[in-house]
Amino acid sequence: MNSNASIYNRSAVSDEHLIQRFKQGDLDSFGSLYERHLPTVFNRVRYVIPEADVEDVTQEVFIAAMKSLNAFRGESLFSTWLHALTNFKVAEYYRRKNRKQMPREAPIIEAEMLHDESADLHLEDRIALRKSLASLPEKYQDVILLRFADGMQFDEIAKTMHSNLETTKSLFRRAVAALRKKLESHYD
Amino acid sequence: MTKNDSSNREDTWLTDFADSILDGEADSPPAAAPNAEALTLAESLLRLKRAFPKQELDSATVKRMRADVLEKWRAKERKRLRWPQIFRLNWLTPARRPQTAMAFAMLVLAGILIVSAPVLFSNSGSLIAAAGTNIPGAAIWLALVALLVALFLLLRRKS
Repeated sequence: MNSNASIYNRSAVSDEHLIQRFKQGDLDSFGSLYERHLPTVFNRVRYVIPEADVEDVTQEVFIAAMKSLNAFRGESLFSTWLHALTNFKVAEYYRRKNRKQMPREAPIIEAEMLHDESADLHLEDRIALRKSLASLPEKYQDVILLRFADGMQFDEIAKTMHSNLETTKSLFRRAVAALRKKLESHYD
Repeated sequence: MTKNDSSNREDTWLTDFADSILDGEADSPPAAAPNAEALTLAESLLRLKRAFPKQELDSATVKRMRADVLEKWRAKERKRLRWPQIFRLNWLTPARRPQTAMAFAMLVLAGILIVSAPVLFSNSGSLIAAAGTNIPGAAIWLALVALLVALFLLLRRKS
């Protein structure tokens, strides 16, 4: 790793500063942004994308970010912008899959692709949950993933969603109820 | 207690339960719940937590993924920059290789002369009138000179 990148990681250089450096042609500064935000993006993607494609979709999010970073005006936080980009890439992934007429037995194929499936007791549940989550309306999906995948507290989620705490809690309950319904229909 | 109060209480109960699952304080369905529906929702949250246990990326994976992204980005950039160069005909600019550009110009001139000679040198100037006529000698000579100049420019060693 380049020494510049290490310096960026060690010190508390802001996202905005790293973006500025990247716009000036410093590729290493994007590397630092990448390492900083990779865990969040990866975690969110693994909740909604089949295991075998999680890495690819995560990479696509960051490549898209590099491509459009010059147009990023900093009107929102970089993390918020990246979050929207992740949602867009996930949606794009499913549009692409639908065009290719994903076979109905896709979850079985996904299970076969995992080498340690015998050891994974929650594999079937994970596939069902992933499918159910992916089919929820975006607002419901978001509120569940902001808490479970991104690890945000409910007051932070309220701020991110430009809402108040009560409304956010109510949205969360409705989202979980919708998830429950989807799961029931999955097993029917 | 109004319906609204009861609804708020259920919302808070569920979000508190979500917090305790994520903080590692709860890993089984709660003993008491406001109602049966709240209990099923709590069970769904437990399933979600169990199906997706916290997964940390190790530093080797992070490094590999980072290198992959940068490499894919560079490849995309190379591809993106190639097309405008081709369409801008940068490879023909005099600054790059003057003799190639001149030779290309001569070849184009020779081509134009050969194609348009029947029209240019016919008496009526129309294609129909020119059909079947031979290409006049002057046009052939001009095209030949242009071809020779082009060949000379292409084969000439760089000084």
